[in-house]
Amino acid sequence: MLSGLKLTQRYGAHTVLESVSLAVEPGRVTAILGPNGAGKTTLLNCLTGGGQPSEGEVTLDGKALSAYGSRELACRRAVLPQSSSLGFNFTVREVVEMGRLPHIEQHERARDSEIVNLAMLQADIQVYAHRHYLTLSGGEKQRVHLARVLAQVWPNEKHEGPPRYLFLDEPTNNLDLAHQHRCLALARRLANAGLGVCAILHDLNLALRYADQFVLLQNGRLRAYGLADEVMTPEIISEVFSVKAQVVDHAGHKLVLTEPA
Amino acid sequence: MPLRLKPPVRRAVLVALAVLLLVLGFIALLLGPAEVSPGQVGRVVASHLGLGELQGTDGMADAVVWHIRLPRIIGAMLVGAGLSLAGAMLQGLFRNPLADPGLIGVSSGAALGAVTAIIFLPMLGFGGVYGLPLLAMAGAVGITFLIYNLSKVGGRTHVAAMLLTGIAVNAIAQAFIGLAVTVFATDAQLRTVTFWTLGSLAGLSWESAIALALLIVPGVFISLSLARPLNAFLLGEVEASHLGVNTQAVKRWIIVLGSLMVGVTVAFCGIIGFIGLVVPHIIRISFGPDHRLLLPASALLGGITMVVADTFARTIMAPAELQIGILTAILGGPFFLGLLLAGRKKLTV
Repeated sequence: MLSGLKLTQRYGAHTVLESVSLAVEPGRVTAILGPNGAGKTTLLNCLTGGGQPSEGEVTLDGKALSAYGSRELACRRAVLPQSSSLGFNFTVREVVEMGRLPHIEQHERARDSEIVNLAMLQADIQVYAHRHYLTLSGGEKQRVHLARVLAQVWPNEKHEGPPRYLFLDEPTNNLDLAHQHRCLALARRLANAGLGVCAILHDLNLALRYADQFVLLQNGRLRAYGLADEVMTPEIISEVFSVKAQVVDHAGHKLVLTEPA
Repeated sequence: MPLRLKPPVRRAVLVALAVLLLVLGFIALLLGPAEVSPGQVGRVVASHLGLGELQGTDGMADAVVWHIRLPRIIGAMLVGAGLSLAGAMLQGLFRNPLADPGLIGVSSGAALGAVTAIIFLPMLGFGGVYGLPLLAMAGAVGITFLIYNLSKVGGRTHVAAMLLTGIAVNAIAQAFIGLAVTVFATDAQLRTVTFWTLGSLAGLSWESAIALALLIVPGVFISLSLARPLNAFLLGEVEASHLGVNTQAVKRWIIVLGSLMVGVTVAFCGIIGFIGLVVPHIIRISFGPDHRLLLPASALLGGITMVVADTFARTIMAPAELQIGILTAILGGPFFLGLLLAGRKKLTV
């Protein structure tokens, strides 16, 4: 389990995150939700080791995240950034291959190349494998990086070893509707296969459909944390997002409908 | 469009470049004001390697080939390799193909260190033999750290800040060098202002060629271990660390290694611009940005480019010499302008 305990992040006198505790569990999809500036990305940075919290501690299987070597940690978790500023013209396949970096001792083995193919297939970019990264659209680039982080946390042959974690910062950015669903359905399948997935999402309906537990942030504090029934209520959503919200049942799924407050 | 290269193809490219380097090096040995035949060159080299004997008329050829041309050609190969490799590494570190050691001020830092060594070390009672390259390298390392930290805004390298810092550092360093050369003009070691601004390979000897080799040859091999981490670096520093790269260590290695190589070339040959910009760019356009090929191929093509340029510089108006920096600037300057125009949008990042 990867857990954050009383995470607080301050920049000067400004507190961005205040005493947030949560756990990302293997086999589950955790959605981090909240309005702009609520501290979602800051929280994700703390959980991934991308930024040291001012106070509090992140542990992975009971051991402090900072006690792991960077390569050891890279074999356990991958992070999909909100946007990437890669400005060099690699082929798509070369970018995805970078995901195997922490696993490679000397040279790639056949298994690495197989994983790269599978990851590209999952992210629906296998037809672009030999295209050049800089010629792709924003959504296509996003999918290349999705394939890259997939290749990084891909389970080993026998599904052995400690559980791996995948962090996604707004993974549906720039994606069309079909690929938004594909992306999160993939996250769901990975969780079912034993991965711990944690994603920042803006679309509450996508979150409701694919996530198991919900982390709702407001002004850097944890406003609500738990299952859909506890967190995704019309009252809480209306208050946190400053909208008029109702939650309806549609074909066995919950849907959030919103109007301006 | 660059090709996608599998490891055997990468090796083939490197072997082809290495062969080309050796062939051009041999041809360069034949060219010059004094006429030397290929057979004489072969006998001279063989005799020094203990593999053969000189013949009757080979005495002059021996002096020209072994004592004048060969150290200069080997030195030129090393200087070209060092500058190109340093350019390729710094461009990866700054995540920007415009980061040329000359443009961003690394070379000026080295020149400043070298001039400081020439003026002050004798006053302190140290000889200038080792002091000069050491201070040149120290100047280059210091300036690179400074530029790297000044040009980072919010974790990303700011292109404008990088180039402007380079302009400022270049201006300050050139002013100090100009002042030093003017005030201490009697010191023959200071040479001329043009040596520091346009470079020259004319002073290369076996001693300086060996000193260059001691730093640059191991540098090429060490750089190979940085190739994969550098690829990850192009994604961004945070992304690289998420991929398990020890970014602080890699950064320090690149800055130290790159600046040491620039420093040692400046100490012996002055500032030679644009090689570190043009050569890696040609490799990227031809074979893609993968550092596993880019780094060794830049070193080899850099050596090739410098041998050709230097042979041209010393033969075109023989017995006089064209300053090597004039040649590299004539070829590299328009190339740089072209890059700026092609990437105008990116400069506002």
